[in-house]
Amino acid sequence: MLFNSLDFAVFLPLVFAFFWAIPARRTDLRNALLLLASYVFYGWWDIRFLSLIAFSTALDYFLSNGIASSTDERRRRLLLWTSLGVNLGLLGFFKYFNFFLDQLNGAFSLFGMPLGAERLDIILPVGISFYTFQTLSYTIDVYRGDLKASRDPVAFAAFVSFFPQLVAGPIERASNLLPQFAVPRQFTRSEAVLGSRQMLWGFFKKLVIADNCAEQVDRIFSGHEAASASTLVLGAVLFAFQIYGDFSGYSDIAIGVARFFGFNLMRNFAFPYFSRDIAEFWRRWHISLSTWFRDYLYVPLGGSRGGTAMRVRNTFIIFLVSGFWHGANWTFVVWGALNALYFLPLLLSGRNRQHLGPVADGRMLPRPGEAVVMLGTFSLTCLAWVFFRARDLEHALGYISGMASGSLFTKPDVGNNNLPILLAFFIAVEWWGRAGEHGLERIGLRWPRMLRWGFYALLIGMIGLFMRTEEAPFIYFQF
Amino acid sequence: MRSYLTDLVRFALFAVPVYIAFIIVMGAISPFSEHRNIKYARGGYGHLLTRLQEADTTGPVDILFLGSSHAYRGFDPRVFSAAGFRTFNLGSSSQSPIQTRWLLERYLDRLAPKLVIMDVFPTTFTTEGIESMLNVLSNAPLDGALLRMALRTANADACNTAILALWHELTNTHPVANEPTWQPSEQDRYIPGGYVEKGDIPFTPKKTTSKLTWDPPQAQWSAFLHIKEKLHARHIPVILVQTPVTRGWQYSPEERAELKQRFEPHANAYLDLSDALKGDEALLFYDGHHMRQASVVRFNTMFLDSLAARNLLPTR
Repeated sequence: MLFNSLDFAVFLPLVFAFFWAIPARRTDLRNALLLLASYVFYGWWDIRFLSLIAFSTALDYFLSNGIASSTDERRRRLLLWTSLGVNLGLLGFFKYFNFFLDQLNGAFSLFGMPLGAERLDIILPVGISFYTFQTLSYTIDVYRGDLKASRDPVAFAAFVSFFPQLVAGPIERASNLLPQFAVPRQFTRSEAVLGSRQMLWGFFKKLVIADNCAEQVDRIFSGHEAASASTLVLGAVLFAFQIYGDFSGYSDIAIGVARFFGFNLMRNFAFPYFSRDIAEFWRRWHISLSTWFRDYLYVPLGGSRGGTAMRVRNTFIIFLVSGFWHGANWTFVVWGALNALYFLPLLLSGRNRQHLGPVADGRMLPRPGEAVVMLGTFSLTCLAWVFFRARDLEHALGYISGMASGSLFTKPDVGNNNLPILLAFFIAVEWWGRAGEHGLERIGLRWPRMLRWGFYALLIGMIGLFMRTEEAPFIYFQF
Repeated sequence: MRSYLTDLVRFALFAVPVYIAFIIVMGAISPFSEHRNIKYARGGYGHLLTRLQEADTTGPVDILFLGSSHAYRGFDPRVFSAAGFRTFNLGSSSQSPIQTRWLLERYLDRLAPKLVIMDVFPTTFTTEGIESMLNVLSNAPLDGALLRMALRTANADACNTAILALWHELTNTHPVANEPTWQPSEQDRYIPGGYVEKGDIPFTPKKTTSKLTWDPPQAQWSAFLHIKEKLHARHIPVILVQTPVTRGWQYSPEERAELKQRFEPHANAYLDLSDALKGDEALLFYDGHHMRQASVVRFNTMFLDSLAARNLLPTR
């Protein structure tokens, strides 16, 4: 079920009404309802893959309880590796089987021994990368002793499949989300208001910014051979806004919806395009995934504790794995590698943690120097996004060589004259609200109510006026 | 909880008029922008404005034509008039059964036909009917049924266009009062009786074939059945027609048999004439599924003969 569908517009109020109709002390019933709702939400897309999520849930529930109840380290490690093996095996099969088969076929053909192995017709279950990482973090935390194993299968299943963030994150940590299923939830008006505001901004980002950019990005990327360099640059910039609007919009809606039920999900984006260097960008982009890799891959690999060579190695591993997590395509690996290369000078010079607070904090506008470094960081990001968006490496390289051609100073073909105005409005609101959790969090709080409501109604009007009338799925569903 | 829900209702009551005002203002600034969800195009493609203005002062007729552009570009009232029949063509671009039903409800009493001929091009059954809805909203006099029909689509284009159309209707500020009968950009000439004659434009037929997709939304099929029942209740015979199209647009014999099976029980006759015109398609058609004027005359003559042979023509 898509957030931007009529089905969800009916589904959410129904679940909301039933949830709060259950007495607060009956946490078990509320969890059961959330579990049921989550399975309906997921099964709406394809009921067959419910068995997969149910299997993954049951496996991690029993294995983590086995880990928690055992003092035999060998047994504990065996159970942990079973969880890792089965979960990553399922992910690997559904997401990467055909990719590796193609590489194998290609390698054998190179030596004149064509393998002839045929690709399997595999459908990638929506959200498998997200819930797999979520359950893995739980099992690893239990193994490390950072978290007690859950003894409540319904609460645990509801945690794994919690519908607001099931298919595209934020990838929740069990230590944050699971305990919230154990305590009685209380409806608070302030949380519901915050949630409504965040949902509204999420829908604006998705329906107005991302979907309108997508139309032009598709046009420019598919016809890049004939486009001018300036149009290709524009295409890369628009994709940067598309993917940000799409993915952070989803996260905002997810966090907002969770607030309706009294749950607090972790922040996933923190105005990444206002970053002053790539290190800051990666602290602000897809935070739940970046921190997952930090805690469960980078730190176990040694993190920054070893010498320079180890830090460089670990940084590359993190970025390459992160790229590969996004999809079975070399373009994602190159995207990761490129970001690692961007990151490396900062790491080696020890300046990767120099920008921790919001840019131009307490000021209306950035200083010229800040504007220049923000623009530079954004440009580097846009260049990397070309690999992320391209269908293969040849496409990406052709696109980038087109960007470097002599026609860079011609008028780009925007394709939609409303887009520059919409983007300017969007950037202004995000800049204005950059000290908050999301663009709309603090805007208008001190305004008279009518003015504030008028602004929200205007956003709804813009959604109604500029949204695409056919349902467009979120980009991160494919990951 | 109560205070939150109360505020939510208050906000909704506040937001609705703001939204409506916003759509009216934005629509009034530039009503023909391509990338926005207001598609108010009065006097646009297909001459529906002129057709409905004429329908308001016409009637009764012997034969009423309904359906998509295959109807209003495929049945020439001059040919039928020469044979002694008064006709009117209520076709409109991409008209789906939902819009056909509304047009019929509005004009049936006035036009009081003795026979209804309805084009049942399958594609018009399998869409949501938004394109046709926008055309009707922009050009037809608004009433409650039409507004409800637009809102029921839950489509931003249809709802916003309905808001703007209602504003123009209430304030009598329609940007176009009358459209020219000759539209040079389209080479279209409006002929009294609802017909649109196409000028001489070049055409190269394609060899690709059409594949039937027959999965009409429930609302479309229900509207079609309602039309049938309404006409049946008034003892008005109905003939369902597939008009001539190029080979590239014709369905396979199996698909045509399936369509016949679908439609035949619902009419006095179902005539699949999609392959009725033989010859050089570049000369017969001006695009894949619309006939040139000479072909329309030839087809209409042939069609009249066919109806006469089957004793389906009304008394003059």
